[in-house]
Amino acid sequence: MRVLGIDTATRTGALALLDGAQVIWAEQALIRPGGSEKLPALLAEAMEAAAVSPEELELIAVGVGPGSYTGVRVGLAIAKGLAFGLKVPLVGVSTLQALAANIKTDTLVCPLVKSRKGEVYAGLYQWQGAQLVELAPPAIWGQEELASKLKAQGERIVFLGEELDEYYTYLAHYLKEQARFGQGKENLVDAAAVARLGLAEWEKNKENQLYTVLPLYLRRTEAEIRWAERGCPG
Amino acid sequence: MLILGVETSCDETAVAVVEDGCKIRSNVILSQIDRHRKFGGVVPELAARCHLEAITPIVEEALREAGVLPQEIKLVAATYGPGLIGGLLVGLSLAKALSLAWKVPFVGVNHVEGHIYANFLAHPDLTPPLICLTVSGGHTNLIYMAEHGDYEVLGETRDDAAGEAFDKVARVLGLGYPGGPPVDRLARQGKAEITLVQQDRLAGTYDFSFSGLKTAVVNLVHRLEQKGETVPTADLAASFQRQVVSTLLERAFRAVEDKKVTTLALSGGVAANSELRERFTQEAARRGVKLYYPPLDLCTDNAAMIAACGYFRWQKQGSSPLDLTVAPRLRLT
Ligand SMILES: [Zn+2]
Repeated sequence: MRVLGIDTATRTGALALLDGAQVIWAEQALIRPGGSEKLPALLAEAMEAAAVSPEELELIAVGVGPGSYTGVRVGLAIAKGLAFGLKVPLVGVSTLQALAANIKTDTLVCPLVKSRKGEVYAGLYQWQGAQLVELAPPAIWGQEELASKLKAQGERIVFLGEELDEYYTYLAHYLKEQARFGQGKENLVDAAAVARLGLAEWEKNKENQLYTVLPLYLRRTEAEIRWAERGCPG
Repeated sequence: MLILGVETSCDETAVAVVEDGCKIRSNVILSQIDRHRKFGGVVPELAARCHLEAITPIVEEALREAGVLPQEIKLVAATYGPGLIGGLLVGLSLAKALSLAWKVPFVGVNHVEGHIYANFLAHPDLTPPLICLTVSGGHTNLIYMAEHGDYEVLGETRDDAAGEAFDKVARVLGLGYPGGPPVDRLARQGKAEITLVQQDRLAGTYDFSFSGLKTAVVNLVHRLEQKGETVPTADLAASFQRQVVSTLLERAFRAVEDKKVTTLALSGGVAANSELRERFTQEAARRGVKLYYPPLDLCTDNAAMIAACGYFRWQKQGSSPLDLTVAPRLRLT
């Protein structure tokens, strides 16, 4: 089955085309700040270079975040346009889970994506055989809060993420030898992982999410939060 | 030739199918107004979220209503500016993906130019040269259109858009959001006898300024409230509206005269204002100017106008590149 994977939740936009387990091509490009709308052109070029026509696609898998709201929406809009236009199913995949899939290890994996206000999106994953199991779903954390929670668990953890540098000093200092950190490309979302996870999900449930998939925002809009707090705008 | 238009620049998620740039086959508009009302204005992040939720079913509905199969669409047009960046990105990205999937060209459309085309859709006999006045919550533009694709922007607002001023005045008069229709209704019961601004500081130019006028209303209301006096809301609404319409009217008909054209077209949500229509109609009759305005559903933001404009753009300049970026402050040139 030919699966297109897309992820635009982080600064690196990722596209990949898989034929079953085989990666036909994979692209990673710095798309932000300001430029995620260039992804369709990148996709068109890559498909032409690989001599794959759009109608050969059979499934679209897209990263739903958490990450940049705008970024995730661009990815989802592209994915929805393709899925609707080609009449193929669409499946949403957690961007954090795709990141976690970058390394094969027995220890816990904690992918990190920068949020706002000094906070971070994080989840906890572990390989159990061939399955990447989600132990804790994506949530928003302060880095102190996250580190102390993980320290209490006492297990070794591998941290991953594009902006790992921002958290490295604190996590290394606080968690000492309990913490390991991803290297190089391990820290970037790979759309091939998105495609693989999407295919697994599709084979399990056969549920087309074209009309139901939404970004994983994890937060209401600022205006809604203020409204809930004060009962008035402004 | 069938064109699919996509419009997501503000708070309307809209998709339309238009034939040959002039015949509307479907024009589906989902207004998000109920989601924004309690905030007193459009919340950009909320608007972007709503666009993404709504867009795919609306594409489907537009095709179904038009009785058109996807493979019959030969051009995809989408607004790429001006507007709110989050919403623009949703519509533009989806439109590009549809063009990729259907293997048809894609064309980016300037939303302000789109508004002009609402008149060509509504009035098949309309031809340039003409003056177009577009007034809405987002824009106030006075444009000279010499030919399809050939424009001169004569004047713009220096501060608030006309519709924005209506919203703010409505808020201070306790009329709710959006402000255009309730101010219009209330104004009919009042006398336009309150002088709100002494002089038109942009007299002689084609530019507009509504911020001073709006502030004058706000200040007057606050002064009266402090003194415990009753606020003559109907008279205030009437006086404010009279002033806005007078300014628009003066600029528009002066442009008609200066550019020696005989056609004036109105567009945008404010063009639905009853006093504006009445006074423009009278003035046009007096001067022998042909006045055009679209029906309400083409006055406000819609995708039929984007599809129509996209068709003319595509005929003139061909398709847009797939890496076309959004332009929240796009200008008409
Ligand atoms: Zn508009």
